[in-house]
Amino acid sequence: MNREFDKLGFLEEGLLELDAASRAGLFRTTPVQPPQLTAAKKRLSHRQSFLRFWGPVSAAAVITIGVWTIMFQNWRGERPKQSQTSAIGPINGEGVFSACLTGPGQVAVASCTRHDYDSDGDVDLADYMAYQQSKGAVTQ
Amino acid sequence: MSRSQRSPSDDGPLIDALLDGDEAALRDLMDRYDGLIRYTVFRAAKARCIQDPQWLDAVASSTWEGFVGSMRRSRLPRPRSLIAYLIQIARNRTVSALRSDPPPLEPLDGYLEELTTERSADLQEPAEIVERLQYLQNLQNCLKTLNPADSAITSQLIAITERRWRDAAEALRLPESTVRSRWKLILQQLRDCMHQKPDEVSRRTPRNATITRAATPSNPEAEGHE
Repeated sequence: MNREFDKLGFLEEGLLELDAASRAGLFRTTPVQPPQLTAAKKRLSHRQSFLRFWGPVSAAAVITIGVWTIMFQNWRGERPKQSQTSAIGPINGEGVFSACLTGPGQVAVASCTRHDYDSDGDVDLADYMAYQQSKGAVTQ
Repeated sequence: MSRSQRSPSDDGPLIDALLDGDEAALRDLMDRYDGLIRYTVFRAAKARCIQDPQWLDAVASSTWEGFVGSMRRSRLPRPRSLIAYLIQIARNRTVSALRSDPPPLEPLDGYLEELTTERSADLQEPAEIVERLQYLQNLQNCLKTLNPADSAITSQLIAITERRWRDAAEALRLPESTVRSRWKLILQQLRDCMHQKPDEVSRRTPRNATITRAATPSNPEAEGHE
């Protein structure tokens, strides 16, 4: 017996695959519905074209607004820190001293009389000096 | 347009026409690539396709829909290789279909089991898949050139490739030695045919020739087919 002939050759493997392919209907034409495939374009085109333009624009607008919001918030957040280093007046639990600063001889409003340390009716730099001394006494 | 006249650059205008609603363009593209898509699905899920040929139709149809849909979503840029792109879509669709619609739990007979254990992971490259498909198409054309007596012998393909010569001889009512020698001659004839150009083979193919189906338990009537 010819043993070589008993081996399954490349050609016979091809014949087996071809037989299996015939069973599976490989060589038929795929049943597609051309009107569906071709008409779907018109149905989608309006939406696609709308999204193609407004999608990126909307995304860019949202990103821009977000960036500006963050920048604005940061800008606003930095302002109090700058005023803390100001020589006019500290902002802490004592209230805004600088807002009550009227100058010598000017009558202080009722809500600012607590800053009138020398009780002369106004809130001036003399009061501010007394204010600083009192704060210093507290921290010491 | 004949197969030999095709070039990948022809695909672009056809795709444009398809997206503009031209059904003829769809038919042309299917004429070019439907076999490739179906073969990709077949190779990825051979047993499933044999069990249910309608399933192969459904997945191939889904692949075309996916292809057209993706072309609409991104008209530019086009895939560099349409063949590779279609193969990729067909593979993905096959995997998705297998996951969503698993095969029935019917036991496969020995013939199908053998096929499912066949190399399924090879032929990953698109060029190899195309080449193998062309090989099978040429082989199919060459089978059509066999005379009726030889075609009858090929109907016993399974028994012969399993080397059950006696079974094949009994089914054909021929002496076993005759079946062996004739099979050897058939293979030689097919080899010679495969070395010819496909155009020459198709010229030799009789118009009324039919593909001889192998006899299997699921196809008993093919036994007497000629």
